[in-house]
Amino acid sequence: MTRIPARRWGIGAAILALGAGAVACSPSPTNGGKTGESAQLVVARTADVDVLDPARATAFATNQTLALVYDRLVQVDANGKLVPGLATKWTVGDGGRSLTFTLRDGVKFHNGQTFTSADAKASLDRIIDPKTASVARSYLANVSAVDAPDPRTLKLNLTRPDASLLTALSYTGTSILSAKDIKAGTVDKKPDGTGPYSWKSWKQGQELDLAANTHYWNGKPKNAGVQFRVIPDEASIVSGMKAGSFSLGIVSDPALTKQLSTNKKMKLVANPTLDYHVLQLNGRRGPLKDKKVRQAIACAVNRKDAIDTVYFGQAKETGPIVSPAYQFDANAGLGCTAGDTAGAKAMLAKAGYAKGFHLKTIVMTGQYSTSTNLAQVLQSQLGKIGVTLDLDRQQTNVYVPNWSKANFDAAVALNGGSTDPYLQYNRYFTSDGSLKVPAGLADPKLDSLLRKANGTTDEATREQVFGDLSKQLNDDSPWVWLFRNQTYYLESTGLTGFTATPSDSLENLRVAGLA
Amino acid sequence: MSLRYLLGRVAGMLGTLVGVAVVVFVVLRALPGDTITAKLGTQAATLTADQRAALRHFYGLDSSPVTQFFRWFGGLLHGDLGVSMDTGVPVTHLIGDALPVTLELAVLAMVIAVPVGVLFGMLAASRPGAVRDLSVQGVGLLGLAVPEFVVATVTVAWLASAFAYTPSAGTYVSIGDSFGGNLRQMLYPALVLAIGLAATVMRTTRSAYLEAAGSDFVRTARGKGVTEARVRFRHILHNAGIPIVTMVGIQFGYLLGGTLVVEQVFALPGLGRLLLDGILHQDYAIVQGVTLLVAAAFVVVNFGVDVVYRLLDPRTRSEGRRA
Repeated sequence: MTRIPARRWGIGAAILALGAGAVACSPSPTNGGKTGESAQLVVARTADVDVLDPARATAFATNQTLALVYDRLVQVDANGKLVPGLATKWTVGDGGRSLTFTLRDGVKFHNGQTFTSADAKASLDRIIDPKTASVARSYLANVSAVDAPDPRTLKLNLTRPDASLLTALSYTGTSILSAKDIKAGTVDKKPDGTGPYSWKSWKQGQELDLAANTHYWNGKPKNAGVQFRVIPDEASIVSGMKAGSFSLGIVSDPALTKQLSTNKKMKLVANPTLDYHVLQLNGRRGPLKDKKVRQAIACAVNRKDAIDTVYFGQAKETGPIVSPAYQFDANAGLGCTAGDTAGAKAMLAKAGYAKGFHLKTIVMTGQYSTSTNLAQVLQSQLGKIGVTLDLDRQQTNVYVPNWSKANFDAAVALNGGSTDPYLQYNRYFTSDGSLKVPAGLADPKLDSLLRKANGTTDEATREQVFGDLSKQLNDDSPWVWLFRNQTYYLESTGLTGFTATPSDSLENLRVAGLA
Repeated sequence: MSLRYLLGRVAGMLGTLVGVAVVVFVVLRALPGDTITAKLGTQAATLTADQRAALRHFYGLDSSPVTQFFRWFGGLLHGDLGVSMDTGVPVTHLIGDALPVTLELAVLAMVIAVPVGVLFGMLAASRPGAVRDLSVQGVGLLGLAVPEFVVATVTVAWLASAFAYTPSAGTYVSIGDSFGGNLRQMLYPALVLAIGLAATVMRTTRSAYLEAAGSDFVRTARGKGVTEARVRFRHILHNAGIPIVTMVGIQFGYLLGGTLVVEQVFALPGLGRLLLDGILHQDYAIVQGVTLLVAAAFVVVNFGVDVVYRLLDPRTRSEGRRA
C-alpha cells in the first residue's frame, strides 16, 4: 500500500470549512428596522391558509387570517362578550322569532364599494344555499328568511327562538362579503372585505401579505400591515424568534417553550384557548353504562398531575363549561373530589367492578403534540383503580371515522369550545345533535336544559341554566373534563399592544405596533 | 448503444410509470377517510347528509373511482396533472414552483458531498486500519447515524444564537432573482443533506478503491513506473468508478423525494413539502402528480447511470450489441 501525505487531504477539509463560513450574515431585523405606524408585523406560524372563501373555511389558520380581512355583523371581545361589528345594534322581536340588525353607516369594502344590507343578505343567503357547501350552514339552520327592508336594516326570520345565533354570527364562517363579488364568483379568488386589513399578496405555502386598511371603521391599524410566514417546524419558529426575525411566533408544543421564558429577545405568553382536552367515555357500552362507574373514573383522574406532565404545570383546569363568560365550579355535581383514588376505588367496588376492566381507548396522533402524553398519564392514573386503558393510537383519518361512529370505549379528544355553552354542547347532547353518536350518552335532562338556554335571550336565566347544565354534565359524567388547550405566543420585545384572546383570534394585531 | 436497445429501455420506462400511476391512484383511495375528513377532522361528523353530498360534489369525489382514474389519466396524456382540490391551482404549476427548489437542493448537496466523499474515501483507503482510516470511518458513521432532523434543527438553532440569522426569515428567493440571497437560504440545508450523502459516498469509495487497488493492473502500472498520482486517479479511482456512480445516482434519486425533512425545518417550498401537504389534506391530484414525477426522475436517473457505465467501462457496452 502506498502512503499519501496527510497534509494534502487537508485541502478538502478546508474547502468544506470555507463553505460553512462563507455565508457570514448580518442580523436581519424585522421589517427593515421600521417602527411605529410604518412598521410591518411579521407573524410566524406552522400552517398556511388553505381556502380563501370564509364560508368554506375550516382550518384554523384560515379562520384566523380571513377574520382580519372580513368583518362579521357582531364580534366577540377578549372576555367572550358580544360587541357590535358591522351591525351597531340588534333587537329580538316576534317572541324570539326575528332578529333585526341596524347596520353601520359609511363602511366601505376594500374595493371602494359601500357596504349595505344587500351585501349582508347576499352573504347569509349564500351560506344557506347548499350549493355553496358551507360548513357554517348548520349555524343558520333556524333562519327561514333573510330580509333587507332598507339599506341600513337586516332582518332574520327564525323558525324558533335561537339565542346562540348571535355568537354564531361572530364566527369567521359567517363573514360579510360583497354582493358584487358573490355575483361575479370571485370570492375564492381574491378576498375583499371591510376588515382592518386588505389582501395584498399570497405565495402559497410561504408567505401572505396584508396591508392596513387606513379607512377602517374602528380606527386605522397601528401598523402598516401584517405578513404571515409559514414555518412548518415549530423549533425553527423559536430559533427565528431568538434571531429577532419575527415580531410574533405562534407555537403549540409545550416542550419547546419550557426553557424560553427568560430569553431577552422575546416574551412568552401562554394562552388558554376555548378548546379543551377531554376523555370521552362511551356510556352505551359494557361497564360504562353504569353512571356510578363513569363517576368513579371521573373521580380517579387528577387534573393537576396531568397538567404537570403534559403542560409542565401550566394550563387551566376546566369543568364542562369553557367559556370565560360563564364560570362555574368544575366539580359541582360530581359527588366526589377529583383525584381521590381511594374514594374512586370504593365507588367502583360498590358498582360491582372491584376487579376493574379494560377500555379500548382511541388516541389521535399527528394532529396535536400532547395527545400521546396525556393518554399515558390517564392510563397510569386509571390503572390505580383497576381500569386499564388499552391505547390505540390512530392517524387523523383513521381516528375520525372511528370517533364519529363511537367505535371506542374511551377516546382521548381535543374538542372545540365556544364562548356560548349552547354552541359547545348542542351538537352532542340535544336529541337531534349532529354528534349525538360520538357523545356516547343521551340524557333528556341535558336536552331540555340546552333547549331552555337557547330559547331565551335573558342573560340571568341563561347563566342559571348553564350552571345547571354544568352540574348535570358532571352528574352524568359522559366524559372526564381535564383542561383547556394552550397556544403559545412568542412576542418579540419590541411588540406592543398585542393581547391574545381565548379564541386565538389575531384581531388585536390591529392595535399592535413595534417600538 | 443500438436504437433497439434505446427503444426497449424507453418502453420499459413508460411501462414502469403507468404502473406507478395505477398503484398510487389505488393506494390513495384505499386510505381511510378523504379530503373532507382530512380538512374537518372530527367536525366532519357534524355534516348533514346533504352538506356532505355538496362537499363531495365540490371536491369531485362523487364520481366513481374508475371515472376519476380515466379522467385523471386522460389529462396525464395531455400533460395535465389535474388541479389541487383546495385551491384549484393546476398541479403542474405547483410542481413547477416546487421542483426547482428541490432540484437545486439536491444538486447543491451533491456538489458538496461527492468531492468530499470521494476524497475522504480515498484518504481512508490509502492506509486501511490506520488512524486516518479509523477516524474518517468513525466520522462517516456518525454522519450516517445522526438523523437529518436533528442536524437540521441544531443548525437552525445554532445560526440563530450565534449569528442572529434565520435562513427562513424571508420568503424563498430563486437563484434567478438573487444568487447571493438564494445561496444564503440554500447553503445550510444543502450542507445538512450533504453530511449523510458524503458519508455514504465515502464508504462506497473506500471499499471500491481498496478492491481496485489490489488488482494486478495496478501493480503492473506501478511496475511500469507510472507516477503515484496517475496510478491513484487514472488507474484505481477510474476503475472504482462504477460503484461510486451507481451510489451517487441512487442517492440523487432519493434526494428528489427525500429532502422533506430539511424543507420542513428550513421552511423551503420544495417537492417534499408539497407532497406532505398533499398527503395530509388527502389532495389526491397533488400526491399523484408529485409521486409520478419522483418515479419518473428515478427512472431517468437510472437510465442516465447506465449510460455513464457504458462510458466508464467498455465491457458493459457489449450487452447492448447482444440485444
